Amino acid sequence: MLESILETSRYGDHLSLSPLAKKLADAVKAKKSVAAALKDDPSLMGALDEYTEWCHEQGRMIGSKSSNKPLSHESALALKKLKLKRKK
Amino acid sequence: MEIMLAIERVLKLGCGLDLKKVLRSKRYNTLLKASGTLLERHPVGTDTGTALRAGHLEFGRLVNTIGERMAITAARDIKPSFGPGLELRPLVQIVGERLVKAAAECLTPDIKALAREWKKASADRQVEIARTLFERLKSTSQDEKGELTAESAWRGIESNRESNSWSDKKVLPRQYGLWNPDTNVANCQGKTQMVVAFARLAGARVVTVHPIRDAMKVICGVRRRIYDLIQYNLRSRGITELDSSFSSSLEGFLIEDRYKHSREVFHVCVGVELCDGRWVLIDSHALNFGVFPKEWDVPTIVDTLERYKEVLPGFGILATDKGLHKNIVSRAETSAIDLLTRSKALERALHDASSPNDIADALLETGEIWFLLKHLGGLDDEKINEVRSSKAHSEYAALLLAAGEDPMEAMMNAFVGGDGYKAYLTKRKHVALSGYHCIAINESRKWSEEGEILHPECEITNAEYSIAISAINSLVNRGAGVHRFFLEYSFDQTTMHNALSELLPAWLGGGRDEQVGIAAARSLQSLPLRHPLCSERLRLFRL
Repeated sequence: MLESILETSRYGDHLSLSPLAKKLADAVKAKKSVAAALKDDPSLMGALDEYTEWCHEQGRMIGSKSSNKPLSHESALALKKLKLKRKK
Repeated sequence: MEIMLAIERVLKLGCGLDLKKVLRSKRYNTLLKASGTLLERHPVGTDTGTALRAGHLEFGRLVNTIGERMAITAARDIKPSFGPGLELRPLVQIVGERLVKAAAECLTPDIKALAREWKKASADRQVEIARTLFERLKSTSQDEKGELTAESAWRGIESNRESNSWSDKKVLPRQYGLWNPDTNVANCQGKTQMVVAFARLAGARVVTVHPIRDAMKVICGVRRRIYDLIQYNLRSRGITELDSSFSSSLEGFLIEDRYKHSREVFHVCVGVELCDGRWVLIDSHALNFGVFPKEWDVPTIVDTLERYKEVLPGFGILATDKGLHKNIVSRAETSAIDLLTRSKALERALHDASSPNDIADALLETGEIWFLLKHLGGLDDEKINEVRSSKAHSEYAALLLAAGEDPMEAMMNAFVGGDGYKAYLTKRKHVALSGYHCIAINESRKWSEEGEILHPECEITNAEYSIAISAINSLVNRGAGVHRFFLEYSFDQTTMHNALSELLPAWLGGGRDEQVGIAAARSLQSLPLRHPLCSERLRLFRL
């Protein structure tokens, strides 16, 4: 699962981009043009709609809803119990 | 046409208002009248008159690249290709005002009470009130209960993707409704509308702040460096027997880091003026809070914005922390190295320990038990003194770390002896030694909420007008003329990013108004700071 995130993460928010569309996006980047990418590999045509939609996607202010959980450690958990016991 | 339809929807769905009624309102007519005399009141040759005639795009680009004075001189010779965006300006402004008014209705009574208190509060008390507001507008899914694990990291990603999926409900007050941290779906725009409404109720000056670079991203980078450092340290010292919760947290960290690192979005939050002239940033969505240090020079920026507010209400000014955030990187690394040195010293003290009691003694003799109680156990100095004063209790704390949570396990292992016992002791030592690694990576965790770092690069804009532009942008169908409207009525990077799509070939739906795309590209290329999404799109279009 981690691997899939790493693979697709370069597309930012577009984690749901299909492998074929991702391949097309890579090819467009490499060939510098959609037409050249499609000419070299016509099978990528199947992802054209998805890719086009991605290109058209407009920026909207959505923010990045963050959370801030700490890393856990056995000693931390044990010592926190000590703290709770004292509270009681 | 598309713009008018979007405005109509924003008013209807967001504020429960009919466009025709709004157009007949007294406020709209006041705005319209003022707009009608703008050219007359700001004649050619004056600074504001020059800005007005140059328009948002040209004047925005000039001010943000060569500064205000030179911009005025340069703008005098410009023959802008775009209109000054006058016709719909009163309507945009009133949409923003109505959205803020509707957002005020979404504030809970306790938040409204804080706004009342603000009016008479000292600057320090206002900072406390702002922090309370920041905390109150956090969603439940953002809370810090529990620790980071691989599972919680995946859950977080799912929740984040869900919260970032698009819905009108997230940006329109009448749709997201009364604030409730459990169920309210307001996104950064919605929360911005509510904080601006709070500021208006409190009688405080307020601006909208659009991060070009996110504070959390900077912290992610710092934490990633610390992560690499501690992983190297663990490996090189042969500390391999990590406890399961720390191992899972490290895995969760990596997952979260990869996800956060990869995501770029446009975002908005709020700056509110305190009664002593300082400004405080409130961002409950991306979890960033703090008073702007003087290096930002926010008062001068806001004065400039206000000077041109009437002639260019959609004008945005780039602002930075002047590199303050870079100090944080070296501070974090120094602190991490100190912690690892401490762990190494304890390792030496534990070298000959051959029982949990020996480990406990080493923790007590070196005094490291107090450090761990404070930084891992979260005990404050008063509590630590209490523990210290009770010898039995301090020994118990040390033994707790030395023997693990289950004392029976320790006894069984000691009884069995042999390799199992050796492995047990190694594990106990490694758990104690890796506590410092955990502290190191957690230290920077809350910097974004404790004022240590603010979004280091931002665009600052006029609140109500900018709120309206964002809402219209969120609801509009992208027909012909839409990108041109935004370029004429607003100078911001979201608008320019979107306008670039006009440079797509016609068969991909672009090319309707290449002049718009070229103008946006030209502006973006000249700016000293660019949002990563703008840079990405420029690269994609080979610009």
